[in-house]
Amino acid sequence: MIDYLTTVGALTGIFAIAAIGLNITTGFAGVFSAAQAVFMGIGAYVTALLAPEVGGSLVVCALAGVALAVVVAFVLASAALRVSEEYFMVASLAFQIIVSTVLISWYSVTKGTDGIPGIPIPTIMGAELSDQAGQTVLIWAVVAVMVGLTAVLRRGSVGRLFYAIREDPIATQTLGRSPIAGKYAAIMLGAAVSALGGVLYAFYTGFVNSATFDYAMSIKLVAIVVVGGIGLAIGPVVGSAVIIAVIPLISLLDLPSTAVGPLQQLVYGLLIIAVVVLRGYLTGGGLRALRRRHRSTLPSSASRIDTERVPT
Amino acid sequence: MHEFVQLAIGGLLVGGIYVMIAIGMSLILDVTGILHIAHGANISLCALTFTAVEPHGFVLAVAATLVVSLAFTMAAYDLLYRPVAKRQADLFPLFLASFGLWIVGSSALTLVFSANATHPPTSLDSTIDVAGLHLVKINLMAFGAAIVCYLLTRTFLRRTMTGSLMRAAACNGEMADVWGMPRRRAERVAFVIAALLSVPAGIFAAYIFGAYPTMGDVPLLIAFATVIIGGVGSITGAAAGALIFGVIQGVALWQLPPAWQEGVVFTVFLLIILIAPRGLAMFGKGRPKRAKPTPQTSSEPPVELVR
Amino acid sequence: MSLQIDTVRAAFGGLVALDDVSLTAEPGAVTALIGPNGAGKTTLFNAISGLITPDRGSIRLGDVELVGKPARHIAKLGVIRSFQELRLFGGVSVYDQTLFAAERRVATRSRKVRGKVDRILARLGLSDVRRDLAVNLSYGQQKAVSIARMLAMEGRVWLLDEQAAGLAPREYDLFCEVVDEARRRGLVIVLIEHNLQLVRELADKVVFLDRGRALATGTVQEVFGNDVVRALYFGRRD
Repeated sequence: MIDYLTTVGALTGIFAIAAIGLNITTGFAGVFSAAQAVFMGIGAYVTALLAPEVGGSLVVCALAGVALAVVVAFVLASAALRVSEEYFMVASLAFQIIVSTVLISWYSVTKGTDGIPGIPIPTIMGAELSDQAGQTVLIWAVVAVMVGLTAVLRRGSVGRLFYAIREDPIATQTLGRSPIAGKYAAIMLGAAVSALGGVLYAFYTGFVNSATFDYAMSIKLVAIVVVGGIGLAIGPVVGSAVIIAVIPLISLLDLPSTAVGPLQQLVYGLLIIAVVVLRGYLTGGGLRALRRRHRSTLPSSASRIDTERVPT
Repeated sequence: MHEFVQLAIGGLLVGGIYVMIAIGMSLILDVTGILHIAHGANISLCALTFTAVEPHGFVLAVAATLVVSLAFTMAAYDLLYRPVAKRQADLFPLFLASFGLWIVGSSALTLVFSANATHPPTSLDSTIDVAGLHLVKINLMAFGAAIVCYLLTRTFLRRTMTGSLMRAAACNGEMADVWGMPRRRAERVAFVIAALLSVPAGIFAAYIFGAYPTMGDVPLLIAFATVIIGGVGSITGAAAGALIFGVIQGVALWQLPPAWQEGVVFTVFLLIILIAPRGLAMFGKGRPKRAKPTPQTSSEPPVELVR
Repeated sequence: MSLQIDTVRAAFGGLVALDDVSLTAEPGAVTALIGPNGAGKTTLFNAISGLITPDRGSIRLGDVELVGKPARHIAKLGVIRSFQELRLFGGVSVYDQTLFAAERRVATRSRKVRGKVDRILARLGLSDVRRDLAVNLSYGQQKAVSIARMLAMEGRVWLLDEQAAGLAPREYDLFCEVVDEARRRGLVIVLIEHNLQLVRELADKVVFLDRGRALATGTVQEVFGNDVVRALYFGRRD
């Protein structure tokens, strides 16, 4: 039972870290990425391939995994940001499929669906973290640092730039700032954090294969971010706890094993829709609607605002 | 070389399916600004419905597919997008809602239907030889259907009042508002057309790819890619892009194992937007001339949904 | 340093939004653009601020050509604008978005900038709501935030798109004071207004636009007395 709880705890932490990355990209800067599992996968595969060579050094694997993820994110951003941001989702999905194809089919390196077992025990400055409890503590320490860093980021000038881009790229430009530069930063930063989650995932489970980092994982990360509250620093942790808790509940239903995956997806999808619809009723949307009604009673041209937009 | 041409032509014909999906997507995106990604689930739904009902009669199966497609698509518009758009002005919640609906749709289908591809029986999967090339009859028919669908949609947009309204809304939503045009109707018609076009798309996809619960995903993504490549605001561009992607997908089989096919298609897609961000239209005469927004303002959605 | 607009033309499809518009706005003066809806006033602002590229013509700030420059470069040159629909960052606090406007880039020395933001918010009566999200403010307060962002940007040219519309009397007076102060600091001020009372009070120069053409230019008396303007805009001939 203790083991089970540690496992759930560790996985909650790992997915929280990966989702914190997505929260920076999507929640702060409003760039919808449906390929975040790719960056997690890069971290995990770099760890799987590199860890045996470097005696399981966590720091080396993390640096390498994060560096590669940032480079790949830069390439993706260069292509995807050429078109406008709604299409980033399409480009990122395409990217997810490309990487999944490579992971499955480049057997000599990735071992496809068979995967790479036997990832060594992680070491930090020479000390081995051999038991699961120790690794879980490490994972949650990283979670704490990441939540802290994103909270600081959010309050700082970078956070203001991300929020401005998310809220209104046009106004951001007319205030003399570049939405494109901010988006690059958000995508690369998000990729770095998610890759770190992947590194920890590979060390914790000791095994990676191509099926783990497919688009179902990307969807799971989106669900975590949306359920936890888009753009909140602590959101991914809450969301991860909810989503990871859903999995054992579904397995309690005693369904055939083929139905478990789709049922999880179904729940994620419903949660996303529910949050989007409810958010409209509970927060800004409702207030905005009220205010608009109030505003239209003003003896002014305010009611024209909705019809006369750029460019007239 | 002969094999290359054979693969290219084969891909071109299959591209007909992407044309039918891409035209519908292009219309929805232009008129409403919604990236209706849940349409992928609708394509799968059409193919599966048709395959399931087909043993009881072809006409009945087509009718059932039509009903199901319209029901799913219009429910998405009236019961999900409109309520969300009414309360939240920006497009982001709509993306999320569509994304969620897509996941719900395809996972629900996976729960109900078998994950294995089932092909409805047909005698048309034989080939005919034209100039030394083997062409599958059903693929030829898909291509023909795509051309018919393209011409019908184009005529509709050019010759009818509703069509002009939709083009106005797509070109400049503000103007449509200023002229007092019923934008809601334009939006609804765009969704109806997409639903209608996904009936032949789903049926031919069932015959050619086989029907399975996630079959619509890759064609949908290809269709989206073509809408972007073809240049937003142009169904001709979208249709041409769809055929090009069909060819690329076919040709990918030339030197590579089938597992790489999708990877190659989307790599080409990312390369194209890297080289020609404003789509293939920038190489041709392209879209009607207007004072063009500077590149960065393209992040402004072409049209916003009426609130 | 004046803002010179020379034969600027912009067309959308068949619709000519700006038909060879020329005008000059001088520093230390308020230039008012008036005219019916759809006359091209906002389109002209979009062209000046770089959100659209005109088909031809030139827009210069002093000796610097603005046409063809991206919007954020134009803003960095000191040409800053407000939007009729304000385009505030709804989910961001009043303080944070004013601070964002005051920051030139990500690493700005913050203490001086924060002091400036505090002063601006106090000047505009926004100190009490500095932590509120823009979306939760009253309409008049939202307009004040729009002005706060412009003050924070400093700048040499202000393009004000119907900023006074819908303001309560106190807010209206404050707006006039702020514009007057900016004029005395030597800024080029161009404003789009339907409120002719405000135009009479503030404008040093009036330009009447109709269907994309600048039909009349001059002082308030000259333009308001112009027969064509009276017929087209005031809808009477006397």
